[in-house]
Amino acid sequence: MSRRETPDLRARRAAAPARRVHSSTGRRPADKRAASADSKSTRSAPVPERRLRSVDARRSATRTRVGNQRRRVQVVAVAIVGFMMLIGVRVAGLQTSGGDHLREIGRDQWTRTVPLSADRGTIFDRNGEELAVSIPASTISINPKLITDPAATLSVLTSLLDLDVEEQQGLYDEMVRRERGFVYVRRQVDAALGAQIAELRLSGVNVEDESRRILPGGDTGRSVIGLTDIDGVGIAGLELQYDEMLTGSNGETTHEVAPGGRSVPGADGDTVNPVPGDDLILTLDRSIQFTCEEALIDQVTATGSKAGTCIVMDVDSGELFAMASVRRDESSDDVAITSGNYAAVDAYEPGSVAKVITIAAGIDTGAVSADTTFVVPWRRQHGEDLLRDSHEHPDEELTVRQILVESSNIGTIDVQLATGRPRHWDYMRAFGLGEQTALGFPGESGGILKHWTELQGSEQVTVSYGQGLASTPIQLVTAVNVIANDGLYVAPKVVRGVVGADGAITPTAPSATHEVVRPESAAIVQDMMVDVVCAGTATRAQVDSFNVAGKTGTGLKAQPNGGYEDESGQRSYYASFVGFFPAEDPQVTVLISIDEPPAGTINRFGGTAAAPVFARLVPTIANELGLEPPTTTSACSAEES
Amino acid sequence: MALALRDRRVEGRQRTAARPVLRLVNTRSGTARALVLLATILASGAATLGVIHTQIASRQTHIDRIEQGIVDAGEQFDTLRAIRAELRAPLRLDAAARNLDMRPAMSTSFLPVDPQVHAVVIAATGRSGDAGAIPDDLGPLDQFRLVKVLGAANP
Repeated sequence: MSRRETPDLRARRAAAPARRVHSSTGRRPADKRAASADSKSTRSAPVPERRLRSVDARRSATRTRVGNQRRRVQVVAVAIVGFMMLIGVRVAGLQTSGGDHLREIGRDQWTRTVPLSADRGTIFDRNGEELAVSIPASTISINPKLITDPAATLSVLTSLLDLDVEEQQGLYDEMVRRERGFVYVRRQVDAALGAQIAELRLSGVNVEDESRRILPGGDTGRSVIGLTDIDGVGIAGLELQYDEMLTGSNGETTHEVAPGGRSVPGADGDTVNPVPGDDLILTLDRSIQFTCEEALIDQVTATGSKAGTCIVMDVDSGELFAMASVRRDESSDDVAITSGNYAAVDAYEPGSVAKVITIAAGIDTGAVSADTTFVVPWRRQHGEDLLRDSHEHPDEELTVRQILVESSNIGTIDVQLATGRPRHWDYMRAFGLGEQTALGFPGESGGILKHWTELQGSEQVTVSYGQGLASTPIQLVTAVNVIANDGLYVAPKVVRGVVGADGAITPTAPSATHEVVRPESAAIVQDMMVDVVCAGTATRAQVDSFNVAGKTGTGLKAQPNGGYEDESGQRSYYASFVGFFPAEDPQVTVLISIDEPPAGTINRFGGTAAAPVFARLVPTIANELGLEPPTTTSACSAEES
Repeated sequence: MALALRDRRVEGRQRTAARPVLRLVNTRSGTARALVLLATILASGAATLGVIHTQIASRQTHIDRIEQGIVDAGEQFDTLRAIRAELRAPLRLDAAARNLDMRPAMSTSFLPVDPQVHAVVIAATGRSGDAGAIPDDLGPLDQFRLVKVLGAANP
């Protein structure tokens, strides 16, 4: 398309011969390149110098401006492209190798991670009642460096938290010194109180959520449940044994925050949910546990004893309905439930309860029968020791049944010797003596049972009636339970099941069992043990409506000097009774032991110190477990008639 | 007349000759319009994005409130069952009974109960029918498990 000329241009062309000369060449500057060529031919044309110079100067200036502009554009474009390339290279570098560190720094600046504590599992009794539970609580702390008015802040905290004078002084000193950035005021206070303090928005006062472990039933079951420290970590009992299972795993939430630290609504967040700990369902029955503890406290208090233990066990399954320990506090003289489970931790010489094992072994091996007779003196020399029965009597002919009913030490030795010491030892091991039970309780003792070849002097025979060996109460009740369970040993058990994170209950495996004596042998010993209660040393264990079988034990406690008497010639006793009921079809085995009943009183014996506690417990246990009395006549009445 | 027509034609051609300049301006106007359109689109997009983000933020805030409510309810549930356990604890019941001058029995005897009487007592105390189906009638363990199952299903 040809270029159109304006009147102004035409006028300029008319006034400029050089332009015509230039036009005579027949070329027109169709573009800027042509215009440049025209400029060269114009300089060689014979035209008046002044006018040409004038026109050329103007056009040349125009062209120069155009050329410079293009260069500028090119330079700027190159600069921009170069700058963009630099940015691209930098971005590529940051995206590939050097960016992680910066991303991490940036993330730290705009995000905040808050730990989410997992709830510690609850501990239930066999009926689903809570024995140990974690509840929300608040922990109050201060940052002294941020506190502007120490006196006012302290006044508010004192009024709300009831701080004592010592605590007030300590906090005030910290606030004034302003050296530390974190000081606890009170941990695990009530959550509502924490919320109240948080609402006050006191400068330098922090309120944080924390859970607190409580036993809603008071001290009931504390010996078994154990303790956690203030951080919720198990330090004793089942809380320690199952700490990992109860703890669960903590989570955390990461969210973006504004420069002021406030959360940014709608911003991306990353949350790892905490997994709550599993919950334990114990075999304990809270009511039976409480009744045991109350009965023990009453008896230990009434007799002036040192401590007491009670275990209630299901005959068939080995589940423990109760496992209680009480002890007299030496400073206050009060008797209270212990935090330690002495039923599994302490081992004593069991005394005459162990005669059950000796008699059962003799009958099961066929060495003796219930009616086998021995001529029994009231004392006999064995090695260097003169061994004796509990009371003086003439040499008399006693059946094995009478030996057990009257709890004759010398007669029991005869049965052991008839059985043979190696076989007797094998039976003691089979009854569970000398090794830990399946409870695996923290600090549980395995007792002491030397191999028969290692027994020295009179110990070789005194083990037959429970001296020269040591057993824990849980070992002893499990051993006697073999007789109640028709000769079958069933390991004790305290955890019935576990509630998982999905709410499903996983029952624990049934207790391990093994046969110790034949059912017929067990039945004979059961019958003997009924006689012990009806006519022997345990008459105070008799209960209306139920026939009871059992055996008393009065063991001597070894003294620090190695003997059975202390420096003042005093003996210490360990009185116990282990029985089961209903005798016709045993359902529950119960052990009661009273530690160090007063030596000079009638209450030092198992039949007087421990058996009455058993009798007191039976109705409650029967009621709680729904046991109905048998319709048969009373075994003791029948015996009398 | 002819001269006048010629002049008008010349003027027409002159006007026609000026059109490329106008077209050049038009070309520039098209670019400007494109830029304006682009800017408008970008502005609209940004505004839409802002609205969407505001909506998301609003809903996230709502979700946060609900989640916090769930956490608070869970904590309240734990507190309440601890209180219930304290109220049902044998220790407290024993103390309350003693305050009412109740004492443990000196002796215990078991009496046979006629099944008919037993049934009448059960009916009178409301322990019959489908009362067990009511969630409130669940034991503490079952209530706890129910809440735990729901929590596991909706983490």
